[in-house]
Amino acid sequence: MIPENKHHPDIHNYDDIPIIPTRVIHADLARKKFGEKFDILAPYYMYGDPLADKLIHRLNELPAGQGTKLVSQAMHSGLSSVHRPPKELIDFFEAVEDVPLWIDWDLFEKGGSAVLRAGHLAIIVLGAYSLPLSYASPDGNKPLLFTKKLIDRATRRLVETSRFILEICRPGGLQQGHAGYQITLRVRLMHAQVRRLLIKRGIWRMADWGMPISQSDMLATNLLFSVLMIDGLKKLGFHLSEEEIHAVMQLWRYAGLLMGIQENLSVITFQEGYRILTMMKDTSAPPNEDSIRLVQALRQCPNDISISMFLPKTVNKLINADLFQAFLFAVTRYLIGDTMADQLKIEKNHFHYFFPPVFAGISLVSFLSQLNSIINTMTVKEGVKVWDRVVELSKHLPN
Amino acid sequence: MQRGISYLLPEDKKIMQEAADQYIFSANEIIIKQGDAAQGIYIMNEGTIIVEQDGMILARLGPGEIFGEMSYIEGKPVSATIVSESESKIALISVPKANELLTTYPDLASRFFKTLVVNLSSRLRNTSKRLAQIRLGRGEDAPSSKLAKVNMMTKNQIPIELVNTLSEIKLALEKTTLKLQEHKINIDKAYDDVEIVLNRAVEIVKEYTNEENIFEASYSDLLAFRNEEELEIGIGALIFRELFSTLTLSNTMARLYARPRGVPEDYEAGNSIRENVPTGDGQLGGLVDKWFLNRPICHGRRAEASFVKKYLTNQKQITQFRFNICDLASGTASTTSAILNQFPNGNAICIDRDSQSLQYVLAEENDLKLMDRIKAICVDISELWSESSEIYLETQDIFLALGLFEYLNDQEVVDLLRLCTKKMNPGGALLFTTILPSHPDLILMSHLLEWRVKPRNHQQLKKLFSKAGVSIKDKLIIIDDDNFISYGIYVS
Repeated sequence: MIPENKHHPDIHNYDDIPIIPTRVIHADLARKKFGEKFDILAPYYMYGDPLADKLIHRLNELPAGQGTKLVSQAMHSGLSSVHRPPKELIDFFEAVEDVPLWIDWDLFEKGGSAVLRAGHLAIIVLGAYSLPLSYASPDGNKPLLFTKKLIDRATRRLVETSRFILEICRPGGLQQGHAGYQITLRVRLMHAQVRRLLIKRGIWRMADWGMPISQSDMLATNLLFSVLMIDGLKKLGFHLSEEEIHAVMQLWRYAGLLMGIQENLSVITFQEGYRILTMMKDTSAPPNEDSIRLVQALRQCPNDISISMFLPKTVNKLINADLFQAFLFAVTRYLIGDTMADQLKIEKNHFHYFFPPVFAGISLVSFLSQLNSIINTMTVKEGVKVWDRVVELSKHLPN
Repeated sequence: MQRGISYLLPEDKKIMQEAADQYIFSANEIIIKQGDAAQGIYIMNEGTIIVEQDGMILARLGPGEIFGEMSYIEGKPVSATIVSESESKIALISVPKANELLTTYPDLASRFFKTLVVNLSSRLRNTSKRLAQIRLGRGEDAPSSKLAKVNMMTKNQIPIELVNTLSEIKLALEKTTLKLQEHKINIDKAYDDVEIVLNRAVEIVKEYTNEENIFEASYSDLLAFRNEEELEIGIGALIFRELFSTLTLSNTMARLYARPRGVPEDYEAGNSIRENVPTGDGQLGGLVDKWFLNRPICHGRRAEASFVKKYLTNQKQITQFRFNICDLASGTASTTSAILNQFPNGNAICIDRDSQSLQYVLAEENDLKLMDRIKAICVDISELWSESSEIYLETQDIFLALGLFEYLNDQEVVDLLRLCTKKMNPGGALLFTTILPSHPDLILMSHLLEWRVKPRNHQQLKKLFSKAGVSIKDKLIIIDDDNFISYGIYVS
């Protein structure tokens, strides 16, 4: 039985809905390997985000345009500034504005700076590691496949995700009313709206695919930005201190709470997160045609993105979009491994021969830059500029 | 006064009859003239009387009913003329006798006043309900039941392909206008061009308001918080705004959209469809009108008369004797006129709430010398089944409900079916037409003309008959035609 407090307002009959969807496979093996963790996590594939789902349901009932105003007001100036808010808005923002005791803004700033200072590398990890792995799960990527626009707009998705990460990582980004806070809540409500649209349209197979953008899916996405970002950067040679790794994890733990992930699913350490991601991968079906389609759509990014805005001028003269795309795919293959790369039809090329010396250089430079606080501050500034340039690209992309 | 609940006992009525003077009025004799003081309380014993204004019937009372009681109590002149419709036997309790009666018999007086109050209260409640609907801007009576249709979608939700197609459509229409002005094409070629372009316009409304495209629009701006209905209205409104100036060049569409009488199909619009003579403004007006008049909805409306005529032609047992037709929400009453012309034994009652429509009908019938065979009752048809109805309806041979069901909600259809079957003579029939949900013009009607109807399929109709407690086995035939209209015959 799905507990009543986890019900979605647009699902009126839970009789035929199982506790764990069929998308979760190899349950026995997972139990052996991960113990009770599997049975704790698996039912969360059936849960959405009740507070956001109820709010969305209510906002869609309001006269056209009123919902947008209410939400913007509450996000920007807090719940107390909203005149006669609906109950669902109160419930949602009371939960969001209830800051946990463990919050440490200084620690968050350290975590954010670590990602921002990685600049180009972090964006490469995002495009070549986090996103391809998120597309690899055939059931996790389902909500993207119900609209033509989301499949074809790979570059916009990359740029918007970059903006999401940038604003969260900026100092104080997740504080109430700040850009990171607002963008996180917007994404949360967008997820709730996607859930509503898919359920209402009657095309979503709950028993097989679970809840659209379930708690487990949200957790996986959150870990892509924390655990996989750390892992990817480390694999590319970028040096991160233990304190920085801890800070990145805590920053995304709070971002996850704001995104609607339940507190009991919060991941505290990198190791724990990595283990959960492995468990999710082990219990998911291998990539299918849709996964390949989504990953291959990333090929268009170097064409859409004016490389001159992304790469230093000297490199820009030597490289074109095709070459850059081949380089990114080589990085992807290196990061996700040959098996997954073959499943996603990411072709082999010879770029990987250059990786060892390049990564060694990255490791040395990033290690040295950490030793001096002035150099470190400068690196962060330069990194932010790179992120800003990528985010700026959204102005030049079609809607 | 008996229209509604009566608390008067048989002995009360006996006492009242004994105190009254008996009168016989011949057909069409005026009983009380508007502005005259009532002579007392009148009791109908036989026949029917009508309450009329400007030749139109506002109420119709039959045997057992009481009238003049309001004027007696208020001591004021009557507000409408009361005419004996047929030879009527009426008992009149004069004012002094009525006073004496109500003083002498307090129990009778109590029941008399209770009956009066309860029925007045019921009528007041109905009036209040209709007024509330008007004030809330709901229902066809509302002075403006058109939606503002703004803010229904955000700019990100407007499909760019739709905007481009609309520009192409407008450009094509401009080109045709220019070519006509410069005599570069003849009128037939211009019509062909207009037809292609406007058919394309209807297609794009259909295409962009389908489930898939509305879903895409929802996905295009997930934080817009516009529900699917709002998006559908928004897409329709976008197309409507772009094409409004062209569509309203057509005489028929301009009238349907403007609905000066509060309903889309008023007399003028109905007549325009029936006559099928395209007219309009400017170079394109006539062509746009011709295009609209060629749409299935107009063909369907024009085909209604032949459906009824065909049925009656085969019903010799009805038409060889005197027979009565009741045309419900008659509008232009074109079908009824055609029947009366063809069948000299027929008499008709046209019921419509639009007084202007009925006035035109009466004027037309006068010209056609049918006046003595047709009566116009100006009430909303829902009055026919209301508790405090002032319309006495005798049994009928034919009920016509042509293009009516689509304007009624399910409960109203059920009430109407109950009334028709109750008031139908043996061998009589209810003939109805209604729009099918697959009708290709529904999109055009709702999005571009704000002409909202409720289409129903056979199954839905049969369900309503069953809800009305009407046995349909071997009694109900429903046939669809190429114009996406269901033609129904229910035989008693």
